[in-house]
Amino acid sequence: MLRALIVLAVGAVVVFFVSRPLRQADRPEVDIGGRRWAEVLSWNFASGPHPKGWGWGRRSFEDGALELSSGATYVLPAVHGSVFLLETELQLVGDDPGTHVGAHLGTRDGGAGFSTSGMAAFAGGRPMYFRHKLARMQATADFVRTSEPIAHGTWHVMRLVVSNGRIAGYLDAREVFAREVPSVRTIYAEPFLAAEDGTVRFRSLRVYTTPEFRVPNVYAAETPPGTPTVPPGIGRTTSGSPLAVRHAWWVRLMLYAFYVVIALVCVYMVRHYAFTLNRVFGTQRHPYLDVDVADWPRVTVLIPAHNEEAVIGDILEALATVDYPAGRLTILPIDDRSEDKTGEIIDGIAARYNGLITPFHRREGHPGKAAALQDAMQFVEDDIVLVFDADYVPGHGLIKQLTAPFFDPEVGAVMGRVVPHNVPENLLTRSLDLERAGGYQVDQQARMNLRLVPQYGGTVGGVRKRALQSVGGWNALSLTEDTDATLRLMLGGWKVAYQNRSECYEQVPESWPMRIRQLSRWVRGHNQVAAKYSGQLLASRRVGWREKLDTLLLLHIYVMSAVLLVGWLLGITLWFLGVNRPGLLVILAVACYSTLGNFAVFFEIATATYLDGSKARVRLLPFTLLGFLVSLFTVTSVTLTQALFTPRGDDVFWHKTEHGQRSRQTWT
Amino acid sequence: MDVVLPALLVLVLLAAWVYLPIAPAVRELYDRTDVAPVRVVQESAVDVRYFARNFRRFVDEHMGAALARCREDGATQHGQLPEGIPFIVVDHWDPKEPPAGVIACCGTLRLPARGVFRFEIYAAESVIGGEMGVYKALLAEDSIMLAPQSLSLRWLHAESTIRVGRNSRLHGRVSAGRAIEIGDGCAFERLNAPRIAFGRDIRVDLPAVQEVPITAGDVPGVVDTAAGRWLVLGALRLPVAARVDSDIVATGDVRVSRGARLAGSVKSHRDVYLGRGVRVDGSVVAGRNLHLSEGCRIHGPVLAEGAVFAGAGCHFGSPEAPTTVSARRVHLAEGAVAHGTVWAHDEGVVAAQTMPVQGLERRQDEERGHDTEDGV
Repeated sequence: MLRALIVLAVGAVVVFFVSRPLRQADRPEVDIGGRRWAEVLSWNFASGPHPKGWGWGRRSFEDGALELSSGATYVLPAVHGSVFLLETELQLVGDDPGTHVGAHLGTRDGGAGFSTSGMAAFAGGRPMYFRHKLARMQATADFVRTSEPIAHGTWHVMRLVVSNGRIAGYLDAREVFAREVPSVRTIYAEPFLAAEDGTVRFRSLRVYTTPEFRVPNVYAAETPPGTPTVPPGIGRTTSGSPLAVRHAWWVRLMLYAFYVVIALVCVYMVRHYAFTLNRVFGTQRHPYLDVDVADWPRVTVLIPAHNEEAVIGDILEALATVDYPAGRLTILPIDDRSEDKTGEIIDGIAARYNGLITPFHRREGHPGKAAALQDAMQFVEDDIVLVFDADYVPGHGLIKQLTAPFFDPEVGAVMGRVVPHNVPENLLTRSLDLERAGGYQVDQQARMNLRLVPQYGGTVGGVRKRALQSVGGWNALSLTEDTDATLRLMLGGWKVAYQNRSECYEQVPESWPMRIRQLSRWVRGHNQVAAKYSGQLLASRRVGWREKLDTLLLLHIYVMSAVLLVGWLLGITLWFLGVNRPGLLVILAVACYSTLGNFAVFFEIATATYLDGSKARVRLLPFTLLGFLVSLFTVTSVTLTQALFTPRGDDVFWHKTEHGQRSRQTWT
Repeated sequence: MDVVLPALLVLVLLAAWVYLPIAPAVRELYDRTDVAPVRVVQESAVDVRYFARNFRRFVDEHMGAALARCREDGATQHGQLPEGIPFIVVDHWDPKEPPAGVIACCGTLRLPARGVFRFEIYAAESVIGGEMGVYKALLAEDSIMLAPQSLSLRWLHAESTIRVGRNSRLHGRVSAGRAIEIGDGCAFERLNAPRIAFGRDIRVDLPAVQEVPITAGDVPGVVDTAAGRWLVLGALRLPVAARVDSDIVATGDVRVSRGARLAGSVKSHRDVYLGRGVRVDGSVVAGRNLHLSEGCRIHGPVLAEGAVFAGAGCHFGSPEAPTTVSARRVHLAEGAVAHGTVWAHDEGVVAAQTMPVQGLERRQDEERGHDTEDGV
């Protein structure tokens, strides 16, 4: 946990400090005309075309200069404010007979073009030309200034300065025009050079702005119709700070990664919506619920127990009196190296129910529940094996209900529904009650309805012994032997049946540390299974594509927490880079996941409470966000730690929910 | 000031917007009006005699004394139940008596034809209903006999036998301690008895066949035989008199020709067709429909997510090992017998003739010129 926190903290710091300089360009400052300017762009066409330059018309790069002819334009993306200085070196080469060649220097606010400032100088007696147009609503008319014409063939320096309500044009360092203009704050993004009616050569383009200028976080330029297609590799997505422009390839990489996160988020959103709608409007499948009369098979009930003196007696007494044909039920409690009185209690109760209860006192072997189950299987003669954790108390008819699905020869495992009984304890137990309801009443049952893969949960369920043995038995090294068994059975062509009405009370964690421990185990085990079986699942010919897809989504649901956090970091970084497409859609998509994510599916929970007939408890939904946030960081830290430090972690030992006092009146 | 006021207003609106979903949550957190665990029904939820047992307890509690007196002196007694519903205790039914309220009889109750009884009826012995009678619920300590075209709305239970005349409709559950006999043309939902006979007794003569053991290698499409189960990708067809000792699971249709015997269970993701006289020692599960020809015998549960069509003389379960037949629709030909439960969620029908699907298949085979000896 500590290592995970360190990794997360370091990562956050790195992202923060890396993104800071990216937000603001390294801008050298110069003095021009008695004023301090910060350089936004300085490009010499002796280096050839600018990597992000684009344009239209006839353009070429020869003899260290950019040559534009007859209406051609060349644009360089650079963001600057409404106080700016543009400067270029130009040479009028020639004009077509009867026309006057002109050179344009200007800037505009990207594709919208509502704000445009520029100047044009002509040869052949045509007057100079100035324009300063701001936004939609405020258009300042073109200004025309008569001036001596620019001679052909010689290099001139043309400069345009807009500053604090004044526009001024300079030719070869001489001010040739000045006019008061409205002072409106706006952003420009596309300084450009153009040629009119002839050929003009440009040697350089420099753009300056005030040192105080900062590229705004939100910067988007609309693309008006008719705007020339941006050549590939450039794109408006790179509009942002100059550094973002200069290093666009990795910015684009981050953006694509962000899109992938959004897509994954949306896939899970659709999945949870589909499950919820199915539970409300779809056909509900309970194919085995009707079996009330049958030639019931022999069943063995396993109860793995490690230091369960507080609860073991209750489950044994309950099982001893269930409704099941006499002589066809064997109860096999597994006392796995308990250090308390678990063993004594088991023996005492077994003595009273002659032959019904066969204790197994395990004193050696691998630690953990899965290993205990695997060792106990040698004493199981029956084909149907049900498993209950020691802190559950099955109802009178539960054994028959859980056995009924095994009449279907394709069923390899069955799972019932667990219902928290210690709901009133505190906010955590009430939140977990809501989460459990969503997970079983909606999620599991929807997967049963849609013929996907309900999950065997390790308790209040069972397996077909020969099916499990045919796929390798219990995996003693797995933290989540239930998920592991589910996958192997599925790959072996067996089905898991979910019985929503086969309910049993359980005790949920009553403190956050307990909850985090439980969740951590689930995450580690789940991720182990995901890493181990995803490939086999994709390659399997016995599993349909729908089952494959849903199972992959199920297996990687804990990975999504880390993915979500990465997505948030990417979003923040791109935001500071000034790259924020597709904007609102992104926010909505990410927000969807935060409300419909792992075990915190608001719609599933609300639907589940409705189906359960509960009323007021649904009002606690906002508080489940707390649980979601805890889960998010717990799952992420565990996943990252597991991936980085213990990719093949085998730290298996007994993990169980610690027990408090339990009230029994809810079971009668 | 012109900035502060709007800012404050925005802050207040934001707080209100955030608090909107939190307010009821906070209130429920402290009021704790809904903190009880979801109720888990400890008894089996599918107990078919649940209502009958509850009604018997109710009769004992509220009408026990009156029934005892009725047995002694035959006196008719009127009374009122806690909810204000009237009841009457009689030793026989007087046709002039309007059928109002709960009726309890200390002997055998003979009810008139076309009577409409909107409340439960109890008989210490038997209930005999006339033609076209309408009953909400009947409980008899001996038998129930309903004339043709009767209608039961909620449930029937008799400790011995229930006989229902032709073309009757039985909604809800019907249970008996010994047997249920249902005439042809009847519709039903849920039946439970050690023996349930549909229509008249029909004996189906099945020629003796020599069973031919079949292994997985004899059948195309088997991809796995682990754990005593054949997993078949695609459809499966078993020849006449085949004997299979494994469970069978097929993703396509399963067609089992006549005279075959399956020692295990069989399941198809789609339809299952069992030919004449097929025996299945395990269960039969169909993802869609199940078609059984005459004389089939199924030992284990029969579960279909679509419909079950059973020909004449089919047997489900046995007196020693009752079973369950369940489907959305159950169409049984006369002569079918079930031991245990038959449950039709949408429609259960006792048909008087051979199932049309069976005949259709034969006609199709003949048109194609197929040798129907091997066909289903």
